[in-house]
Amino acid sequence: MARKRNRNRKPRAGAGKPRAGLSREELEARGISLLAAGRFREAVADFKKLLQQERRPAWVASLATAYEGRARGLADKGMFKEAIAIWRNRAESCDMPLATPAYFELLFGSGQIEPAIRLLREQRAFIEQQGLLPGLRTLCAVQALAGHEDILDALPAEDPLRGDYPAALAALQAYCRGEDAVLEQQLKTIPFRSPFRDFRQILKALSLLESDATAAGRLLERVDSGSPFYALCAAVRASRLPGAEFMRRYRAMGTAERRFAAALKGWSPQQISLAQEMNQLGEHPGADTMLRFLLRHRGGLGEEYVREKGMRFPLAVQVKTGYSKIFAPLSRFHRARIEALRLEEEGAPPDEIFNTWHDACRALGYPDRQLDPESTLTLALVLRRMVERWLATEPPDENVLKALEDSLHYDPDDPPSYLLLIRLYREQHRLKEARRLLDEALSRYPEDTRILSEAVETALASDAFKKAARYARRTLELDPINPRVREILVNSHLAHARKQIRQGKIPPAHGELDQALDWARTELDRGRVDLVRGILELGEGNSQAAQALLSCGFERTGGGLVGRLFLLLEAGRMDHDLATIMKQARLPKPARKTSREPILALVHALNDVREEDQALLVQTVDFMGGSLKSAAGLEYTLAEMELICETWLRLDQDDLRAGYARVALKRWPGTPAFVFHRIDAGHNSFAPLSAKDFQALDNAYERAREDGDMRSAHRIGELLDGTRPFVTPDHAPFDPFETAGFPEAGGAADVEALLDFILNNEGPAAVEAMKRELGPEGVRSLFEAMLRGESVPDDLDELLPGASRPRPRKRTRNKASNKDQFDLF
Amino acid sequence: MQDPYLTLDVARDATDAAIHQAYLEAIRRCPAEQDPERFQVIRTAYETIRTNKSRLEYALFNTGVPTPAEVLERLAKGGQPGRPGIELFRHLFRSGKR
Repeated sequence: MARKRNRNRKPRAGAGKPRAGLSREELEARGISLLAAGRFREAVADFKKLLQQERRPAWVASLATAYEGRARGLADKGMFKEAIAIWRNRAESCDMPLATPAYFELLFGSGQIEPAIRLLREQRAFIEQQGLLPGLRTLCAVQALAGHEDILDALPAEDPLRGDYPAALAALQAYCRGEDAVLEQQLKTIPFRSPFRDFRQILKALSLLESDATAAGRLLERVDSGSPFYALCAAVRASRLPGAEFMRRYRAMGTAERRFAAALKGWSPQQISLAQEMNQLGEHPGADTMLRFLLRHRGGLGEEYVREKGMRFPLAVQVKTGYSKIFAPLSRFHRARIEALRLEEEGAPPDEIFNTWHDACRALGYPDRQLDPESTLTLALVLRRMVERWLATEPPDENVLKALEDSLHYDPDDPPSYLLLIRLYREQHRLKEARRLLDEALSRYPEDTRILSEAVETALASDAFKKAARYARRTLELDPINPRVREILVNSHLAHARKQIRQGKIPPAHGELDQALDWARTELDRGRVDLVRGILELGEGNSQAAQALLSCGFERTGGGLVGRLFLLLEAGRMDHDLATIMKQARLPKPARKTSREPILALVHALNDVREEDQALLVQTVDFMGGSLKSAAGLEYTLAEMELICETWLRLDQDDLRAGYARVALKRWPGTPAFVFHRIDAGHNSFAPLSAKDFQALDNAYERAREDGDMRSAHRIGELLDGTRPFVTPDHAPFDPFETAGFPEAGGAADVEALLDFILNNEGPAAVEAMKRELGPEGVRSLFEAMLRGESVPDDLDELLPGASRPRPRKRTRNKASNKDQFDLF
Repeated sequence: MQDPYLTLDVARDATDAAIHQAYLEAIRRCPAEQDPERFQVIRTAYETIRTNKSRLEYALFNTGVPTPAEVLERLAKGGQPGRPGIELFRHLFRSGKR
């Protein structure tokens, strides 16, 4: 049957050129390059053409090589008959002998055993004379073991193949029967130089597979990949692979190898057919197909396995495939659980996820305090999941704190939950609750250094320095190299020293500073002690000692911008004027041109500083602002720029954030994180967004979702939802009378007066933005039309900032209203 | 993430002790210095199902639907190693494959 030509197939480079136009040299060069590239079919054509012109021995040899390559390629695809035809052409065209091991291999592969035996008989003398017999013997050995024993008769009686065959066959039979002693005995009689040498190694390895897999592996490694016994070796090696790897190899095997390897694995016929069916599904079947397959084979795979795995598919797929009918219908809890997991995966709004998890909790009996033991732990885990997912993007609220507290009621044996709850309470300055939980946690885990560390921090937050030091010492007894607690202890003594300095208690302050120094293990901590002591000396009027200490502290804390940061922070903590301190400290002048390293060091330091007093940190960065602004254009990486913008966001440095984000957008246009920072930092939340910014945010929102940047998507969504667009989403005209302070419009006569008022007086931000966008004439036309009760004129429609905006999506539900629906917290 | 029960070759109702034993055997067969990647897979599997609480957590929150590779891996483990019969050897030899 004629094959359809693939019209779309691209011609290969060089293959489509007219050959007639090439000189001999060009044709020869092309033929050689085709040979080297493994393009044997085209090489055959070129060398045949050359040989029509002149029968050069080199061209004959090249043609023979091309034929050989082509024949091997076809044989590899199982096209033995075609390969045989090519080999015969090779013999005829190149005056090459036909009876070579390669040709016999093709005959054997195609099942032409009789012709092969006949040829061997006829050509035996020639084969021996050409020294081809050793290679041919191993091929014949394989065929003899395959059951074609007639082949042995084609060889002389004294041939080693005939001599060793009985032992090889007996060994194989002994292996199959499990008679290892007989097998061992027979294998010993097969000499090293036997054509069955590789077979001997493989049989030995097979017998060792169960008892000594390593030795078996070593024997298999000795079999060369060119050996006629290699298919057997490969099947045995594949069967030793771990599950997933074995299955990858299994997919590439032929039927005989698969059956052999499956038998070695001990698979039942049912397992074999299941594997074959699974392979036909491909690597990525659809959810429906996969679940149907699992359900169909639940007998072979295990009911419990299929039930458990099936539950992970979306509810819709479960219904569609009949899963829900085969197994008992899912409980309300599992339905809510699966739905919540789906919402999580889809990046649904946090309150929707929270509420769905909450449904799951209620299905378990929440908020009842007494539940059956099985539900108790499940409920605790679900409550924690609910809290964890909420806190990933949202700040904690009462519901979250309550859920976490409740999780500890159901499962009090969970230190991470205690730690989280204590930290959340501490951050909200609810120290009484933090201490209550600390007491509970410490009574359960008195030697847990994580909880002791929290106890230190909580005591510090209550200004209970001595208590903090006591907890810290206990922590260090249990964990002597705990750097965090050392730092806390240093902080504690420093804080106490500052308190005493403020109260004028100088000698005790020096005592505290000495203790801080004792605990300090890093240059940073030692430097901070120096800085506090330096400031203390300044206050005491010892300017020379102060300068020496400040200079030392400045260098120890990192020098440059980082050293300045720590000096300013210490000065701020001790209520000193920052500018005055900087003047008195007489630090080395900063370099005129800042490089990126000091800026990054400062950013890292700002993120590492555990400053409870956010206002002080903000004030400090404000003070340093000038040198930071000019550094926005330095060569930061994208990740560095993101970190910097995040830092400015945390420290309320909107000018810096907008500036850095603008620079970042020039380098990485449209990056959602920077679009958010630029607009969020430069935008007054009470003012409407410009159409351009609105569009940019909308595009960034889509891109963030596509890129999986859920944080940016969420932030942008919040920004869009929280902003009053210039025109309402459903494109209703703006109602100027909504705004107080405007004169009442009684009729057409008042229109002029009203417009004059609007244009000549400062109105609400939305109106001001409209004036900027449309200009006085645009505003006038729009208002006239609206006051006449007409829709917005078409030409003005184009001018309106919101005209080309997509309708804002409902990205999040109103958290307060949604959560208020629950009366459970 | 690979199914931790398959990785450690333990039943789904295995006890803490059985899982610990399977973990020790798995890392003995595959020490970290020989195959760090596989070792990490084993370690992760162990951490995932080490305790009753972690097993429940895995059951409640793991969202990975089974892949063909996982099902086949499960299948690959189900069976006692056997010895192919002589006919399977002959079939393989006749296939003409190297």
